[in-house]
Amino acid sequence: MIIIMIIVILPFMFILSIIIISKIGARDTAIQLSSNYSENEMIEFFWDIILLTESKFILPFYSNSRNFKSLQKLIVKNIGNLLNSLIHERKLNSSNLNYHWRKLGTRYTLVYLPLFFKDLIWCKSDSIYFHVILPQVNEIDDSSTTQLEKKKALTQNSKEWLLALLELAESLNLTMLRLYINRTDIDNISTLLRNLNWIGGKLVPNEDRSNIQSNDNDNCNEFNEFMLGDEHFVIIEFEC
Amino acid sequence: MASVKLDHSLGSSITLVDFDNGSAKDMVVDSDSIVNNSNTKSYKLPYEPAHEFIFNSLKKRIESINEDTCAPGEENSFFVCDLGELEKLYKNWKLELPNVQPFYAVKCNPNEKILQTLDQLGINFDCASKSEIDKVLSMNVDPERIIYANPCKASSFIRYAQTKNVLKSTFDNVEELHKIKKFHPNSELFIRIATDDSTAQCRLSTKYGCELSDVENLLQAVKDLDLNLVGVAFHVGSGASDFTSLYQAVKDSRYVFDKCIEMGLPELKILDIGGGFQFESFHESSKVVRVALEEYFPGDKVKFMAEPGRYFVSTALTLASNVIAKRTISNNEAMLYINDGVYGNMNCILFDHQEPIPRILYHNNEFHYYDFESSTNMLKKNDVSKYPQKVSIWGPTCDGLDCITKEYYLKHDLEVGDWFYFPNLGAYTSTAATPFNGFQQHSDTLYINSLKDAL
Repeated sequence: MIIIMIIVILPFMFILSIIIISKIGARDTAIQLSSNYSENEMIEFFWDIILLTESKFILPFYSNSRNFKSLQKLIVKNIGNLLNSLIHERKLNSSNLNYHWRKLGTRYTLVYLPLFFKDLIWCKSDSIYFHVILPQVNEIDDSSTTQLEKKKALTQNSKEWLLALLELAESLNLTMLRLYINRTDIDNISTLLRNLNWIGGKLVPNEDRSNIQSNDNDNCNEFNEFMLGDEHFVIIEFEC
Repeated sequence: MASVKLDHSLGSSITLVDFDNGSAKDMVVDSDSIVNNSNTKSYKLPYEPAHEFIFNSLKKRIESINEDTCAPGEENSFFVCDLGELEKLYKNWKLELPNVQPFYAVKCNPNEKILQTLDQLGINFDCASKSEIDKVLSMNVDPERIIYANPCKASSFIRYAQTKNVLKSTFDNVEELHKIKKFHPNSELFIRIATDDSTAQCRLSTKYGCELSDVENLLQAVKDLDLNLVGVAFHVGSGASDFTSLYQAVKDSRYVFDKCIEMGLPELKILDIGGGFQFESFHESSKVVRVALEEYFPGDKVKFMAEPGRYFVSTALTLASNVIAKRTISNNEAMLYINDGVYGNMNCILFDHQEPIPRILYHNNEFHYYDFESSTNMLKKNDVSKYPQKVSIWGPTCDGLDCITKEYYLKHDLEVGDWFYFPNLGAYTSTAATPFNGFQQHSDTLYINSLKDAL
């Protein structure tokens, strides 16, 4: 089983690595970034990873290119705040951080499990949580055969990909794994959900939107935190 | 110690022989009734719950709530837990499967009082996570009494078991054996085999357990890695309706025991017959187990263990929940919102195929506990006048998943402030506090003991 993983670690340490889950567990092999790309291009690439990961939490209603641009501004600003707080050892001033997915990651990871998921898996982590946003299976633009294969992989091989993710989280020294599964895929993951207690997982409630506050005090950004949400995901948590 | 004598057919009676006092004491156990012996009272399965005690407890709590002055949280849903029920069920276990040591599946209900009661009864524990192991060890339970049967163990889980000296664990693939060799080589291992679970409500073998055709390779790996294989485990899934799968699984286990000897591995000592036992069908399923064990594992060389969960707790808990909102659709149809749901104590709906039965507990200033026909999910033609109210029942969140039942029929037109109760809701229900959409779904548990309180 091969996991190809790209990791972005803040503040701006970039690692491209390939994890090989072999018979004896996980082996992490760092490889050099391609010399075909300039440093600037690579930085832009890593910014894209951060942005695309965070954009998974845009509520479907607000998901358009204009808002995407606004989200970009918000992320850049928030990353600046995060870096400042890290460098100056100051506490971040935000009331919405009780919901762990709202925190910016200190590490962004792009995982590719080609045996199980055709698409990339977007992940971010802090010092405790490994947030894994599983690719959506019910996409419209696929042929029915591919759909069927994808559904099969998601349900029948859940032990394999779940174990791979647990091993990965553990190798990153994280203690909890949170899977974000699109609600449109809920039927496809029923087997996983029905065995959840059995394999030590639990359902995590979505956030309480009535308690969200906008932290954008200067109102310079059209995009605000109300436009982000986790309600289109079913969230399940595992110990690593 | 007791052993079982029975003929090899699925006959209607068995003879239990109790060797505890050095002399054999025969008790004839008929298939249709469990008889009392001189020391303990037993209960025919399935039997009625201790209604009087449960009702009194529900009534007392609800009457203590003053709607006008109650503090936040007082109207929360709550459980009534009958600890005496655990004892009754254990007595029945000992009657039906006297030579099978139960390891209670903690995941089924990790309530501390329940765990303590089971511990005092001498029941061991099956843990699926680090936190479950911690919880059980914090009760000063010897790690020897724990099996770590999570079928999806990452390396860190195995290392953790090693640090806590939990030796017993299961495996079903070569990769896991390599991890065990590296992190916990002294493990007492059970090879988990797949079973036919096609009739089970919660199928496990489709994902967990190795096929018999793979057993030889796995045993060879055990031999090559010099690991300590002590037994075979299987799990026919929860809610199985066809118990021949149990019989077949015992037969398959015999094959693995014999294969070990053939391959020069040390003789296996333990057979773990898993879980999936249910209150309603325990008598039948245990009969099949007894027959199979007698046929394939005669004598007393092999020890037997099991991982029951819902058998012990399902009937021990009753949940009461308050109607907090109502949306009238027509004169006879409404959506009722109660203060508990899948994100609270009823996640069993989503994850365990359970269909909780809502019964009317309190309506129009009267208690209706004893009206066991206050609701139905199947409306017959003649029942329309009996059950005039059609309802769907929802949890307190705005989440479409938080549905308790899409269609039920009630005798009464419930209003906000009325109460439902859900009997037999002890298995795979969560007692964790989970704030969601402003609702703090913390629940109290009121404990009764129908055995002691009856004295």
